[in-house]
Amino acid sequence: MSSTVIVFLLLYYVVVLGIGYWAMRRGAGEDLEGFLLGGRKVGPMATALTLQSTSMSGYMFLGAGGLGYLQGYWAMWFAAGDIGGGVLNLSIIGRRMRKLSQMMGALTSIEYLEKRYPSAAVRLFAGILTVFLLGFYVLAQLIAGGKGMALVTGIPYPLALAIAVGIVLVYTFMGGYLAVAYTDFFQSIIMLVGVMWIVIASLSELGGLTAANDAIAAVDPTLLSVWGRDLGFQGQWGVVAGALLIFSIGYMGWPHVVTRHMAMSQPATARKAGVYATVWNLFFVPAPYLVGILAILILPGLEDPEMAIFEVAGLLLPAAVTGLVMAAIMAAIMSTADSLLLQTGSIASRDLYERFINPQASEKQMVLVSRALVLVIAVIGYLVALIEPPSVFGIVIFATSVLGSAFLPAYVCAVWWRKANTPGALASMIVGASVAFLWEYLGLAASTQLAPMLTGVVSSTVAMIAVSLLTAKIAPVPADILQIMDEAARVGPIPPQLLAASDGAMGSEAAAIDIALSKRRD
Amino acid sequence: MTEPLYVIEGTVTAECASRQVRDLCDSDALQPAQPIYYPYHAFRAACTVATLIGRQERQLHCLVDAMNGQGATAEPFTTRLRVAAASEQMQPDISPTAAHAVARRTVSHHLGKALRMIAAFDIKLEAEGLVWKQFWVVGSTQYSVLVDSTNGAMHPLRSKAG
Repeated sequence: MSSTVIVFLLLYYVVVLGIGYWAMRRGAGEDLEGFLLGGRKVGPMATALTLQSTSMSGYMFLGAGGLGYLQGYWAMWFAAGDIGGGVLNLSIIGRRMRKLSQMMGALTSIEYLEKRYPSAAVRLFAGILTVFLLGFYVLAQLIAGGKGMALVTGIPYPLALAIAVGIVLVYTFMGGYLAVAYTDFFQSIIMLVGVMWIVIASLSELGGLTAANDAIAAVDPTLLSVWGRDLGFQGQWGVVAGALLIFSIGYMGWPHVVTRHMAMSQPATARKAGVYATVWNLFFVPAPYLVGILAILILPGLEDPEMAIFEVAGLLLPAAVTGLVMAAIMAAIMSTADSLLLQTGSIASRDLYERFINPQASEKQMVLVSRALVLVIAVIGYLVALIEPPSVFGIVIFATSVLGSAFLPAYVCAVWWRKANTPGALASMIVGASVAFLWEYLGLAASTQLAPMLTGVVSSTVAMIAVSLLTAKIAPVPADILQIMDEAARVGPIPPQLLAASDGAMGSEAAAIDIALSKRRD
Repeated sequence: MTEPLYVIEGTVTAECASRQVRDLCDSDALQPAQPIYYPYHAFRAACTVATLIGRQERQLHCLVDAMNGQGATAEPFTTRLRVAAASEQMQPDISPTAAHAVARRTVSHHLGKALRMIAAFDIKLEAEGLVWKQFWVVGSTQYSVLVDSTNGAMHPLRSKAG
């Protein structure tokens, strides 16, 4: 990489730091978490772009491009599911989840599961599974960070990987990542503009989309079909369904995504944020896949297809723009890794250590547990990424399939189905995780033509329904939970404009006042 | 029977609350807004932590819901002594000791998320006693709405105002 790239890369970080300090000094920084009594609100557009920026992981910049490069337009099935995923999640579990988690007093998504399905086993299983799979997801970010850093700086991969892991660990242990809404907003704009710039530059290089498609047809016409290279997935609707589902409903199984629903502010803000996020997705999500497809022509015979986007950017963009865009991409990858490690550490210390091993644990002991786990994940991640790095695409698909299969019915039924009980939830989580894991591990997708995500979600849903109904008499849903669910679901004769303007943060006060007023009237 | 309470100062009056709901619902059949006072245990937290970008010191306010024990960080606020009828007050269920533990956990959780780091924060928690927030109950014989007097936020109620 040229010195201009490095200069603009550094310039990007200086600007981001400047924005962060400016935002903090004027008291507008903090985060998206609500303050009681607050006038400190972040608008829907900033909310949307911030969430999009922080959720864009190494997958989008390595996995998506790599898939497009290897399989052509087949990759667009994944993009199609991803575009509407955010709004789908918000519509299905958003508002009710926010209300229910608050009324139950749950701080984390795993704690929420235990409160809705009262059993220590639910928390234990969910906690262990989540820590294990988030560890995998962190691994994908570390590999992406290492590869990106190696390309940007020109230093060898093992050293670049060590630097990437080191930076993430320092952030996690010592703070310093200015996670304020304005810097995330800036980052998301740079990423969007940068990725669109790469697309336009690629199309311009190839004489437009039609010319590019003609050229791809000359290389291998099957790459233009939606069935993959050599029509390898022709007629395999079970695999197509898996590709569509993985980033649409699969997100609902992610604890860090569910946590965002728990912290959501007013439904009206969330709704507008959902619209902005979808518009952003419409432009952003297909772009990395498309760049990967176009890279078949721009960089034929690429040694590592997952580096397609970085390589195309380095080749076609002006050095200054390359520096800025790569800095934004690297920042997004590091930020995602940092968030995932924080989430994993928090689940290990609060949901497992404090809950099951040492209920009287001090803050210092919990911090020690969190840091020890984060360190173990980082060391294992470094070794795996160094010795035999798996593809970022493969890791993300594996982790999302198992998490989605394990938790999707549990989270959805928690808010929508009154009969969903503890044995049903436990059975659903165990069956879903096992089926998806075995399907991936044994490579059954190829022989059955059914994606692990599809079989996992179907089997966990069947388990939830069957076991909940069969055990309804011996393990009924507690009355207080049913009452809270009724409260959360209640609409009644409230004018719709009023419902749209209602503030979910007041749910618990409203419930207590309702009970008090009812008692007085009785 | 009346009792003096430390009430968090707010700017949303009964008239404002009624107007806000009326404007949204386009209805003239609303009952007059009724006050209700809701208790919180208030805490002030002085937090210090060394980070990569220097020592971070934060002053936070934390309110623990005295009815159900849920904690939340809060904007700085002032209180005013106000006399309220017993029928307008909710009776606290959560003890100050239990609230203290919740406040510590809430502040620690908030700092971890805000600073995005795993650290044992130095938190000095000072209890400021029970404070009350005034809500307005506005509505008709069909529905009623709770309006927060500090920021005008609204939430529908199951009970009818009539």
